[in-house]
Amino acid sequence: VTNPPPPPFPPGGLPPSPDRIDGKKVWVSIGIVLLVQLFAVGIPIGVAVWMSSSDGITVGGWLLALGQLLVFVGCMGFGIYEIQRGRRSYGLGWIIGWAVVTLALPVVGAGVCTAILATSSAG
Amino acid sequence: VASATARLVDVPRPDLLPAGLALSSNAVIHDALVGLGILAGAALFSAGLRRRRLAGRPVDDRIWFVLAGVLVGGALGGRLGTWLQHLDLRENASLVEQWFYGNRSILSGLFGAYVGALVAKRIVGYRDITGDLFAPAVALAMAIGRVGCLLTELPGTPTSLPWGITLSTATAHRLGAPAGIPLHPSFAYEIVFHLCALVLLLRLRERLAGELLASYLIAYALFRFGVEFVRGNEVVAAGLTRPQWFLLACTPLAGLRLLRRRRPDTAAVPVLEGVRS
Repeated sequence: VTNPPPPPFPPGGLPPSPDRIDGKKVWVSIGIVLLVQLFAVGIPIGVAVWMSSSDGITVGGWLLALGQLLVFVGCMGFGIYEIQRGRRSYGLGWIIGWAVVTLALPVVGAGVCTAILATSSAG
Repeated sequence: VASATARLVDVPRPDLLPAGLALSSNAVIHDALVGLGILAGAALFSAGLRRRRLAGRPVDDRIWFVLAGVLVGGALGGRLGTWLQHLDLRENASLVEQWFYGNRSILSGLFGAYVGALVAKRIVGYRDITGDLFAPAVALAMAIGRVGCLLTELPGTPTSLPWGITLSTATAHRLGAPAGIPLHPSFAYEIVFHLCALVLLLRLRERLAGELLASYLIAYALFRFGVEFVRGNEVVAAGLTRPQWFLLACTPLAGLRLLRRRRPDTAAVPVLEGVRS
């Protein structure tokens, strides 16, 4: 008696099987989103400080707004893409990360602004 | 950006803060306590999941998608919810202005979180009732977050009650409140409400299985509607403030949802807390 041959792989490979939600993977993604957000906030602030004029504040403000829009679209889009690929933990981390960082970042941002103002007024 | 910066460096109420904290900015204190409230709520939510797992009733993994929906909806609602304040659209701030330094609203944040949960459940096809897990967490987060409001915002309308808060001249000027007159500590009322609600929610979670969140939200809506009369918010029409109009529109919907759940033909929907009592 011979075993029947295994069924052929479908073209394009097997569909991804969803993984279990792994807290570590979620936290890794949240950390990446935090870094991305820090860049998205830090670069406009850096530009504003470097230009050190009202034009700098205007350019920095628009860069900040554009950056926030890109981060939102990127986190949601990439998160959904990862979930569809079966990497649910990472995908969830991108989506939860955006929300958590959005809620928490004003605290960091306000501290940075206060520090900048304190530095500039002291100088 | 300039006006946002001006808001950020505004000094909080020194009459309610220790000297060290008074050096910090208004927004930092407020947002830090809101963030702390969210963290505490998340911890309580996780404890609820663990409790159910230990009791042999683990929750479906898709609860994390619902949580993501709650957080995203809450973040969007809390930041953008107060954008449409005027019927004449030209009087409203732009979305960019609103996003960066518009008013944050607990009510619109709650509404956004609720809608976010519904959307997430629809997307992942999750039909179980999840509100029982969220209700105590929301109450705890609100109680802590409101401490930030108490420390940094206009407390309320004038009162002759002995627990009224009297502002210094400088703080009263900054908040647009009368100086030297005791004011209702309306946020303290809310803190007490949410702490009492938290205790009740934890004690009644088996008896009110499947109805905890709706019951809590309706109770808060009614309480908040009353508190608005001593909050000091702008009256916009018929003697009511914007939050009161918002509540008048939303609370009946929550009530209808609760009544619908209590109908015998919908009682078959499985609930997270097990068998409905």
